[in-house]
Amino acid sequence: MTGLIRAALALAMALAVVPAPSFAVEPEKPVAVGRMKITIMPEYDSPAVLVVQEGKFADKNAFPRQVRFTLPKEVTKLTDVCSLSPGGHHFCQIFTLHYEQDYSYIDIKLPYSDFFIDYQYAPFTVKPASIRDFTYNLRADYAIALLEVHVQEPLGTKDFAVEPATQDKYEKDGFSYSKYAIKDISAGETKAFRIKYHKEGVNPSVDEKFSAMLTPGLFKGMTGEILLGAAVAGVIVITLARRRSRSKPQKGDAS
Amino acid sequence: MKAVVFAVSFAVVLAFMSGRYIFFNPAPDLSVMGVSHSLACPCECPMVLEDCHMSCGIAWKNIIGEKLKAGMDKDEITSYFYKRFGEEALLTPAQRVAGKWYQITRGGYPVKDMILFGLIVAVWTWLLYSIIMLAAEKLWPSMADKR
Repeated sequence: MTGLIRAALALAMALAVVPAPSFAVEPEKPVAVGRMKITIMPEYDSPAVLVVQEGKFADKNAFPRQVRFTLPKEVTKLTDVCSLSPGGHHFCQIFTLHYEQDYSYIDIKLPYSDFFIDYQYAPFTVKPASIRDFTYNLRADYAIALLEVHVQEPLGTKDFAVEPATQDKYEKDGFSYSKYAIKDISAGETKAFRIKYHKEGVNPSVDEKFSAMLTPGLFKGMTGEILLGAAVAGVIVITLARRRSRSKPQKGDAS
Repeated sequence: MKAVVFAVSFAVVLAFMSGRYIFFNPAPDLSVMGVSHSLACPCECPMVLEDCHMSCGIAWKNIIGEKLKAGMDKDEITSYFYKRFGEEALLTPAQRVAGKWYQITRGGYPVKDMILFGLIVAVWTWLLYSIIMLAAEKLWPSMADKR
């Protein structure tokens, strides 16, 4: 027995002098975006601004990993947050949009370095015959080697202007675009694009019928609420009927 | 007995609600959403085109928009995609179910809609169960007495 205690003590002392292996997790190396394209489409198929943000992180071997994307605080609908495999498969991620005072953000784990995000945000209220004037701020969460920004001019506008001004303009699918290509953006840097125009009407550029960016919901309009309300009313009626039927005296009951 | 009736009610309501969501198209036929309900997403993913927002899917939706503006109807546009891109442009019922399931599991719907869907299934199940039990009580009162 004493031998066993001595052996245990010796083992404990030996373990005490052996340096403990380090289990500290090395912080992940910072990643950078190789190329990112942002398309800003004010009043495209809704009274909001549609933004499509797609790009590729430079180091594809750094994935899967957790990344953050900062978005405008006025985001009203975040439709897709996806990663793309080299074979072109979507890997859309479940996300939670967090709101801060001046911005919102999502933290997601991307399986691949290619990403795609699209959302709507409402930096202004659409009123007839009014000037729409807003600033889209891109806050770079990562260094970006090449940022392309394309601003779509809504149909039926006057005095459309983007600041900073650009000479690089093009037409596509019946729309005019202002294009920017900015190199070497540092992590944390903010790029602002002020978009200003006058529009008489309140209808978006594209009729809902022809919109490529709509998403079908589970329910159209209030159909979900109506279905639920009808079922609740039905349950009440049936429950009352069953109670009535049970309390009714049966034939042959002693009275 | 009650458990069987409840399970059948649940299965019927769930099948109806899921079938409605998977196969019924609430968008008009002469709209991009209406046509893309019948086509597969071309981005090598299991999605239905109507749920797809990637550039490859949007390119197809833009083609649909152009065809609609040119006066083509849903069948003509669907045939155009079949002729140009082959069978892979179309959806089998199994692909449609897989695509819609993928859309749910990737969090493609707002939480509010998912909760509403769950509530509707629960309350309609209870309603159907109550109707069946009421009918049973009326038709076979002896069975109700035994309870």
